[in-house]
Amino acid sequence: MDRQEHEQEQERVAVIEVLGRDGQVRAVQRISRWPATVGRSALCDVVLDDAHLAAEHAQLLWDERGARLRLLPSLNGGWLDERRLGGGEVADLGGKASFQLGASHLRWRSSAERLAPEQPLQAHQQRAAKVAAAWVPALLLLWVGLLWFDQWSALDPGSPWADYSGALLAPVGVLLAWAALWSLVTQLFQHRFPFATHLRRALLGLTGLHLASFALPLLAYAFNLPRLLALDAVLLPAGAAALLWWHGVLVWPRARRGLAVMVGLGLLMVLGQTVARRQEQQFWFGPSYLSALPPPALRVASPKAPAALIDALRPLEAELARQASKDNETPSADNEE
Amino acid sequence: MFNLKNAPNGRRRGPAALPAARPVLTLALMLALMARAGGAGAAPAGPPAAAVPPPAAASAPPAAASVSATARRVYEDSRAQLLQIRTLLKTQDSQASVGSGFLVSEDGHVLTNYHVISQFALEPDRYRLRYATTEGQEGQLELLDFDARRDLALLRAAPGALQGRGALRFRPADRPLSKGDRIYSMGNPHDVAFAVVEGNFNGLVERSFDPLIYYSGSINSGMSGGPVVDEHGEVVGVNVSAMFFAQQMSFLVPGEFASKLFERSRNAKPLNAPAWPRLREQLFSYQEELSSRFIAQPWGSAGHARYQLPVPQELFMRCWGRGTSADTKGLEFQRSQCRMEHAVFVSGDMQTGYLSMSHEAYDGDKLGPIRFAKQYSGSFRNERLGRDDKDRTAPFCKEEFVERDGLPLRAVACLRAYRKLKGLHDLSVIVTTVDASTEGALGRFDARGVSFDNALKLTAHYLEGFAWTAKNTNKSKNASR
Repeated sequence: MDRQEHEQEQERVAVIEVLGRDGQVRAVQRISRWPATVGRSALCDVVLDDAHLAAEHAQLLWDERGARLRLLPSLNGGWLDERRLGGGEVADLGGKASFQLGASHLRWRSSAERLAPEQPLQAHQQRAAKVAAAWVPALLLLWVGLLWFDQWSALDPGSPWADYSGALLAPVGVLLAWAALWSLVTQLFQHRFPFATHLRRALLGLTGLHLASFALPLLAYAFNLPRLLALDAVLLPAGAAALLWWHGVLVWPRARRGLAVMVGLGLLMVLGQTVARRQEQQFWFGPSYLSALPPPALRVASPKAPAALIDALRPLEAELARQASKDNETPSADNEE
Repeated sequence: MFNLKNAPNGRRRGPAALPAARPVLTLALMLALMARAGGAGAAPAGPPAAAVPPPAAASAPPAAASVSATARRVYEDSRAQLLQIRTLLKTQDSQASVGSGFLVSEDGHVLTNYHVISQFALEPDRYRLRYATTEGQEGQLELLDFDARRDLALLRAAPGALQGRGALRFRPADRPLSKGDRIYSMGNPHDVAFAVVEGNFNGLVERSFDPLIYYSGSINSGMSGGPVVDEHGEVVGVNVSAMFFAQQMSFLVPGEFASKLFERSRNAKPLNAPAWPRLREQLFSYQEELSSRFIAQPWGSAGHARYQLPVPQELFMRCWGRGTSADTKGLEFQRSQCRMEHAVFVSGDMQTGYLSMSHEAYDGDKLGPIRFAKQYSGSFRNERLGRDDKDRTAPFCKEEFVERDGLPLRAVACLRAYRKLKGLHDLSVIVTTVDASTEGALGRFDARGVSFDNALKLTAHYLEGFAWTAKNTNKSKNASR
């Protein structure tokens, strides 16, 4: 009989998890003897440091009728989910339940409840993340190199080094501040400060966008595809949105999908605004014409006879006539740059 | 320089005063006054008058006694025919703008500038026209016809209203004036008082598409449309514009055009609907003549060692050039800019009917190919094409690599359509050479208010101006230098 009882008791094992205000588990108390008392008193099975609890605030019961919570007489009582519980009231706990006693948030999880499967590690939790962080200096160097190239190509030969320093230091400063800010937000929600990861993500995004905005005009020029610049114009907001999302999932890893939807909506709104503002223009995105003039060796497309341009212009007559017949109540020339 | 009424839009360049690209604003004969008069009925004329006239206007040279006596006689003889033309809001007595005018018939026909009555012509539902004589008698005017190209309008007072006041006669064409002849401009500057201004006939403005008299005398805002008469009181011209920040540089529409308009339309029916269709008709035939005369001219030479670049004959355009100093460290360039100084006034917001062009030849030897490419692209990107506004659409462009006699070019042509002048367009063509890695030329051609067909012809004509220079033709295919 002893053995049988013991076996039964073996099956009736549960834990009480004490949750912090942020929802994280602060302490876990395993319970295998029933009934178990919860309260401030040292005599209790589960001792909570909460001034709003009675010495013995509640009892946890688990017998043939199932697991239950019974409140003992107290000033503050408790809640099971949203249900108010007073002294003497009893509530079923089932396999898993959240309840509050006094000001303490508690979670009941019994051995009868099936455990959630083991979660895979997130990228930053793996040792490989450390290796990836080692790429940060290399990336930073690449990005600074691009900035330097931009500045170098815009300056006349023999410009003093001071002309470069401002153009390089300011963006680097902004970037570090950006990564630090995201790390602080992550600290707030995740209790860690993944500065290198945020920095790496920002660097990857910026370098990618920089390279794209460098390469697209060259491609557009080489193959005479000026509308590639529309892609360039969309790429910037889209890249910025993707980068925001990428930072965001570090902060709220469980909300990947929700974040994606939010950022996607934001991006759509920005693009929608652009389109709405450019109704009168020839193109929704990108400049009126391709202005990149790289060295002639990069040109692949062969030039045509001047008549080709004249012929290409002809369809504009009807297009312009249609455009001209619209009433333009809000001309963009009002905010001419 | 010429024909410019609207000071804020001033876009002319001084012909002799300043080296290139420094814009000299032209005085708005009428509209400067209009801006100040605002809504306040007969606005006190004092402050604006004190503020506006250019420095030279105040110090008219002291004339010999006999000359002044002539001025007095001329004014006495013409004062009965001299009028102030006021544009008022339909529903209240606030004056929107004021100009001058003069009687040319016993039946009350009045001549003035188109720009003086353009508000009424384009929006007859919002405005009305009134005259005031030198004695202060007032009355209603109707619009019979206008010649936008010459900036003239023919009005008529109500039958009988101005009877018995006589009419000014035109000086016959067979007695042309000589340089230095004294002529007298009349009008009501700044709504202050009727005035007579002595000055000299100095022939026609050179390199002007349409004849315009260069008058050395001080014309001020509000005198637009007033008569300019010789010593016998015969009309030789009509006040139209002046050059801002210049001394006594004023311009007159020759009397023959005013006389022609009067003869042509003296019996016309009054115009009561917005005048856009007639304006369009006039601008269409004007641009036809302008375009065909321009295309008929061969291109001049830019004197560049490597490229032939289009430079116009200076028949009705004026060109200015400048370049970087010889010891520049970076990109060296030479710039040439040519434009017509004659524009057609459409409304306070818009002038049209002129051509302009420019080119910049770059030498980036000191920069190397990458830096040159960056600055060359930057220059190409900097070209402004205008935005959509009340009068015109946004620019719509096409671009292509084209080849002219083996010289590869990147060419962009953009057009903006006029909303109320259907079928008229502004054209901008931007062309860059793309044959060399540290040398290039960027050319730009602009035509305002041309038909689509003429825009295409002008584009083709402009492209024809680009080629290798003769000594470069042989090695045309080998690209980079």
